[in-house]
Amino acid sequence: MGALAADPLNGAVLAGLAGCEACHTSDEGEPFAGGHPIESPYGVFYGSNLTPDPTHGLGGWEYADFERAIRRGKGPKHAYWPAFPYPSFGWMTDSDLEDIWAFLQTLPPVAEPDLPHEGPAGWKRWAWRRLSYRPRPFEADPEATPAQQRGQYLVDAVGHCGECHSPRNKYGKVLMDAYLEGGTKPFSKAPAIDSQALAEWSESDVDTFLEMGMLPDGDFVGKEMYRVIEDGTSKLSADDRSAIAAWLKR
Amino acid sequence: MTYRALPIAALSLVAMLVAPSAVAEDDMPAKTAKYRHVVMEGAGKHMKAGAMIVKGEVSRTSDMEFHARALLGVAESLEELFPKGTGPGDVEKTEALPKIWEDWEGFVKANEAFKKAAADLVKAAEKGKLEEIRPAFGAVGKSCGGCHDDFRKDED
Repeated sequence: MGALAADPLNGAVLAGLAGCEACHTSDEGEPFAGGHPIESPYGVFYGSNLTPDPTHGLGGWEYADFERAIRRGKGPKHAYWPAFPYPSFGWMTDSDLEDIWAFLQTLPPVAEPDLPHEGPAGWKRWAWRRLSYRPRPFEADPEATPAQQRGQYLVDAVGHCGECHSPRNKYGKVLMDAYLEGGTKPFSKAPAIDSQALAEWSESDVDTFLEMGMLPDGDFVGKEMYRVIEDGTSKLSADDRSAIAAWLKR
Repeated sequence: MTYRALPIAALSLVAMLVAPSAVAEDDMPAKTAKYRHVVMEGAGKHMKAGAMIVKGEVSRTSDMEFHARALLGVAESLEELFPKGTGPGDVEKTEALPKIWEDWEGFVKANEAFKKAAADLVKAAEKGKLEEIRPAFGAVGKSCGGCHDDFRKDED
């Protein structure tokens, strides 16, 4: 890894878009120290401690451990539940992963033990990986402009928008042929954001939404998407925001 | 009916005669909820218009002042638009969460952020410089989403 070249500031912006803090911080707890509950049809999962604490966090990890977790969803002891969206994160570039890793190193260590997940038996995780995990390389749309391709990368890989905004089958597998066509209960009720669903939105509408959460009618979103905007899209460069708008509105 | 019940019957008759105001009284929570929804939508339209100005889609920078004043007006009357007894369970149609009344202090605090941001936007708009209006406008937007995040029901 090109450790010397890693840029923790870029890593912080990307970690924001990836929602690391949202899922890995409890309401009352220290940032990135874990404990946020993610409710799913399979049970409640708790984000783990990402701070460099040697006992409870990632203090004992090398970059290779981090990369394996992100690219293949495998931890030191076992594979992760897909509440950790590694199928999307796996599409990130080496350079971006190195930047995020460099950013995580800058966090103050917090000695906060992880909360055990509630509900699903371990064999289900194995079953999920067998039935629903089909890793494939990221393929930029060859017909898209460079800006649109950048937007596609931010949407699919870092932003992992498809994890909530796409339907899943009953085994929780994201249906790639209906990608971004809206979440399905009980997994998600996120609306469709494919180009057809956004037909009435201008590129400027999408841009304003990502910047401050305003919908085309002047309403402002709350809840999950507010957090995505607050931590993620509002902190992006104006160029990256328009790239996302250009990709979604292509 | 016993004679003792007569005064009560008489009172009921009086109540029936003044019924129109009594009906209006019963209707108050629903009307309040509807009114505040309309006011909120109005605030949204002022934000939408403001966004068009900030993004340079129209050259109407001088209009920002009246949009900002309208938003400040909404912020200043907001707490009165959420009287007790106008939440879900009291009225059929509302996106207000019970948390507003359970955590009234938190709600007031969230609205303080809106008030301050709107007042700052009025100041920036009075000066009329777009580079000062832009961040002030963004802060108002943030206060909208911040309050919706905690206190408004998510769409199903």
